[in-house]
Amino acid sequence: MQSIARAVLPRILSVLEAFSAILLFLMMALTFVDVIGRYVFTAPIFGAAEMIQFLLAMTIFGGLSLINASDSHITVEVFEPWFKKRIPRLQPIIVQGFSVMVMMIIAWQLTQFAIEAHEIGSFTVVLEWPLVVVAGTVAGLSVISLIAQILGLVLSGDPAVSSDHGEPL
Amino acid sequence: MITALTGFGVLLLLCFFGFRVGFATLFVGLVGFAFERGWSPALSMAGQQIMDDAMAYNLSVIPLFILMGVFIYRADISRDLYVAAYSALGRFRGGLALSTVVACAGFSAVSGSSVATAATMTRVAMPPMRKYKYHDSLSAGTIAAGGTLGIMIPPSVPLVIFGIVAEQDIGQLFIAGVLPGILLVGLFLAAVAVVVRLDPKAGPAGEPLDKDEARRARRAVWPVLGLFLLVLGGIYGRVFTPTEASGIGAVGAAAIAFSRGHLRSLAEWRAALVEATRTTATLFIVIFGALVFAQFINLSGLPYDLVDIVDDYEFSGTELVIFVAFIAILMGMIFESIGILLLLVPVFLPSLFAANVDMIWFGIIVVLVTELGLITPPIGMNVFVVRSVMPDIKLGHIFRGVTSFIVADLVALVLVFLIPAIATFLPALMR
Repeated sequence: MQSIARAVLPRILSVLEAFSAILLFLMMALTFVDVIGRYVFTAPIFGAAEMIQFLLAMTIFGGLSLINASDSHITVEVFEPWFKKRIPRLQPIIVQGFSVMVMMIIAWQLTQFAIEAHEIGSFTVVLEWPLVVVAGTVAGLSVISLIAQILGLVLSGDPAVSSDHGEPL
Repeated sequence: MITALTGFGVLLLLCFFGFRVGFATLFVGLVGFAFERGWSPALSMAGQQIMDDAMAYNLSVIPLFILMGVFIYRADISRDLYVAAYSALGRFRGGLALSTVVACAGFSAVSGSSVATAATMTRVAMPPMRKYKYHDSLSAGTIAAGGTLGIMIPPSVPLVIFGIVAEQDIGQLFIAGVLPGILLVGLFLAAVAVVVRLDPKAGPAGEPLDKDEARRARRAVWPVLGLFLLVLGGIYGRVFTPTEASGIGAVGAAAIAFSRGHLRSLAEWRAALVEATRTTATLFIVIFGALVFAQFINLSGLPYDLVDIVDDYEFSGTELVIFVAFIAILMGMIFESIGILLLLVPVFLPSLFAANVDMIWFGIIVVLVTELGLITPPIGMNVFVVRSVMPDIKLGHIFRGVTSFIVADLVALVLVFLIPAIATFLPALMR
């Protein structure tokens, strides 16, 4: 299992790093070009705001895989060491199990959302793109985030090791 | 009311145990909502809420300002900022510490990260202060406190978060932060002046700077100052929205980094963009969780029960704000700024509206309070950041060093409280 994770995870992360880097770059470029277009050429990009919204959603969920894999989530560190000292093996298992469970709920509900968008056949307001394209991509990315999270845990082997959150892989 | 308070209690316990804040708030919000309305509506609410927030145009300002900060950080501008500030302030007693305050303000304003500022300025400003035999408490305290200045000086992520939760104009909030930000810089400079007056050995005057070096540094910081003024001026003049300003800020910051010999390879670009993406995702998981939690709190009726209590006891707006600020100070001992804003503000929003509190002014007050939490025990994150970069400084020394700045923060808080115009004057001109 660990060897599979070792082979697969870095590839997933590398692709997602490139993917979300491109998305964020596009977001920056799009806002910039839109403003320049509006003031200098009086030709703003049609639907720029909506495109930025889609890029935002995809950037977030692209990035989520990266932080899930290394468990770089925000924590309250006041009492955590106390629990870790007393139940050093159990605490990380409970914490990581909980994170995986909540991530499963997120991925499940976003998938539901995408399925509904497909069934209803809803379109975006300005650009009139099928909503399922964006919702489906976001749902797909959230599922990948879940996989990255689980692989990250497997790769760290002992759950006790994986609880040293905050450090990128 | 009981359900909501139980929800808060459970959330605290989960966070104390070590559960990730974003996941814990989302889960408690979901279960609480399900308790009131059943699982199926709760689950679809969560999905809908996450999707809505992920696609909120107003929130796109966050990744772009983070990106601007990452680019500025990579532009390696901190030393020049420091030298430029020193060329103006170095000749005074405590000159190196005064310069540190100004450099920290400049760097944290454009980088938007108090942690990055504290870490960077520790490397830049600590060695010269040690060379001139400054007391560690003054030097480290100045850096730890100076790093917090950017939270108020726009563009600031906490102000964006407040704007989203309280449904206020983010542009106006940014402009509202300008005068309090300048006030804080002035008070921090005064804090250094007082410390070196009481104990002249804590921070002796520095030597005058080589003229060429000073001129070179000043020339190097002009573009950064120009970018800052462009971003803020554009928002102030309503030339562009905060999101557009952040896009322009990021492009400008990239240009500055490029002109200074950075961001010249694809690998550097990729590293910077990935860093910004990671920070964005980390923040958004907390935002998703907190907004799902806020749905539960709203459904529980707690915010409206509070409106009744405020009515029954005839609390004035001022009393209410004092009360909320007090709770924010307590929360600052556990959560950092984003968490406080996301969890606290929704609860009191209806009562604040009912009491006719100016929400722009209130936003500045709450953000000031959360800024305080970064240098006060038990968390005092910036104190630990300085310590982690320079492990030979005693933690006690840093905490002693930040005391005078905590006083300065409190003075600023009282001033903004007593004279709301400090926060509301500039945004009123925009309206």
